Amino acid sequence: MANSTLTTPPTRKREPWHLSAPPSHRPNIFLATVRNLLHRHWTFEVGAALLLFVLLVLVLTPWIAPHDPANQDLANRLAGPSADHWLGTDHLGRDVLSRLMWGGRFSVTIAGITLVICVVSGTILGALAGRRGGWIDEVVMRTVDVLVCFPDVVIALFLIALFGTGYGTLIAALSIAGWTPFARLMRGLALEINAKEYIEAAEILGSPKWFILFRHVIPNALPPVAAMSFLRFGHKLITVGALSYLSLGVQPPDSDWGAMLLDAQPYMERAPWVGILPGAAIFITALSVTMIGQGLDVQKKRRTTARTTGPSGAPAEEPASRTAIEEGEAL
Amino acid sequence: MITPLPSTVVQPEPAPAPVPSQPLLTLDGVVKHYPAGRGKQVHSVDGVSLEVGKGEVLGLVGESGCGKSTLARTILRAVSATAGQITFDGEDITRVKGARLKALRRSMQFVFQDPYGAFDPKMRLGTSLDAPLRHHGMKDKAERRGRIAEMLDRVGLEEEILDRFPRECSGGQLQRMVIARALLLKPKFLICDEPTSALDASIRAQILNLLVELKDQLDLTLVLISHDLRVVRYLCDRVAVMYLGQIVEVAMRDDLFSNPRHPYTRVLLAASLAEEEKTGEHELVSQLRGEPPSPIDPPAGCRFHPRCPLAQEVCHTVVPEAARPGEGHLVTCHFWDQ
Repeated sequence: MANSTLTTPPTRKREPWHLSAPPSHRPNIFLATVRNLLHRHWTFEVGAALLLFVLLVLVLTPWIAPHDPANQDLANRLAGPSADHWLGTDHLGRDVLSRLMWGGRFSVTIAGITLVICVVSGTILGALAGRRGGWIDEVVMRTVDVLVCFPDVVIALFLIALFGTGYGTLIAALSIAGWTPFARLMRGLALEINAKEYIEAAEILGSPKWFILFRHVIPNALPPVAAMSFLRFGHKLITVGALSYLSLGVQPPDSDWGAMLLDAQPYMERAPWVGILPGAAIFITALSVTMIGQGLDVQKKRRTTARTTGPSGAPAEEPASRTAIEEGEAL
Repeated sequence: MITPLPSTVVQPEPAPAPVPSQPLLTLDGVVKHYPAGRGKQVHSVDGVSLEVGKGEVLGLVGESGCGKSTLARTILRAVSATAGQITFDGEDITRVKGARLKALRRSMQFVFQDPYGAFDPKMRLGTSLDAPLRHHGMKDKAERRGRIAEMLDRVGLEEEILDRFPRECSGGQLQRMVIARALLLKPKFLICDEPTSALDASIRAQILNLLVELKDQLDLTLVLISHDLRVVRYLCDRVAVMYLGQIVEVAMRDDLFSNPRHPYTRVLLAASLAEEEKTGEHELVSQLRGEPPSPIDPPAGCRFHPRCPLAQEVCHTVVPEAARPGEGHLVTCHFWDQ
């Protein structure tokens, strides 16, 4: 009891605004973003490094790929790693490394495009449902309810069976199957933001509905949506791979990581690397993006707890208010 | 218990002209109910009839949860009234929509209680101020900028603040911004919902003085919601006391403070006025019993009877009629003359 005054953390008094230094005039967003990135959770850093590496390789593929991915060398089938073929050759004697690089371009691009479509459409539909309510809410959310009953792959399979294979259908099918989590998340966030006073203020000031939706509701919901997009990317990548594995995704002569898995399956015992490598490529790429998302999520949670518990847990020498400002700015 | 207003506050002026002849806003039996599940209703505002005269400052006082803010939001058409009629400037605005509602937004505005909540945290203050002007058809950017600069000058802020985000400002600065934003559209009617309760005591007087100043300069009609009777006494011409969704007493300021008729008003006065200001009248009731009843299930008869020190049998069953103890003085109590 006696030492209770000692155990309570010293509450830092906020300086009156006119005594503290005025916030810098328009803080440099670029610098703030860079500093912000450097202060992330370690999963963010590792994930970002991995993803950067993968993307760099995929972008530079036309210049750095050692072989033509379609070049067959039947005399040299299922060869192990060598100086010429770093990762060996597949059942037609094609260079596995080159095929990984070219295949990754399909996998990652399709997953990326699909993800963007899902995020945009899911966010807008969810925000509309949350804000407008009524029949829009009913239609959107009942559609979501129906779609989440089936796994993404099953919905995509059904749509591809209906409309045939092709990149357009593939992306459309994956988008229709994948927007639902974003709509659900965004609807919840929109309901939460709806109750904020600044929304009421905008209404009383006579701001049009589109302005409130796109300039108030969606920007304030972005951090969780961004975190979720990162977490969903791996899922998209695996779905694309699964469809290609089932011969319903990327069609020959093009080939992606999923199609490579399918090709490698009969030779798993003779030449396991031919199958393991594309699997590992999917795994590493998905993992890197997921780690980025997790890092962002951890960072966000830390920031909110720091905000609610006060600056007592933060390092003392840090000008807490200033960094908080810049961090918020960067997001 | 309550710190006195800082000495910078000027003393109340002499009593203004009684009873507004030309009402700007007329409420007639305004009701706002919210569904509370299982078929029940929250009776937030339950039959409020009130007039606000042009150029008047009306104080609206009452405990938290008595429906003051809901009434303000109903008047401003942020929510729709369940029943009753709201007339503003000769026009029935209870159900107006579309372009008419948008035009109405220009004539009546709101000052929020919490200045930090009133601005979008992701938007620079400049954008927050610029957007409403743009949405109300001011196409010329320089003209908007000029109007904003003029209004910032009026509320005593530098233009530099426009580049900031809300969290980079102090509460006092932000509350000035809230006022500036509300006045940008040149409204004639302003509702202030506890404009100082979220601020430090040292800033309160500044904001109140600013409101008085702007009211005179811009020819505003003001409704000031507060639970702080000293603020009301300092600013308002007329005072309405609200209890559990209903207005229980309306009177000119001096009349109400010197001659409160409703027991609830007396309790409020006794609780908040400094010791030396109390008269025998105020001593009548020193303390309220218990908590206010739930607005989901308001008491029958007089709503105040479960807590009223003067309550008698009749109060339990009969809803009191409005009585007129004097010119412009309305009170709903069976025993107002005791």
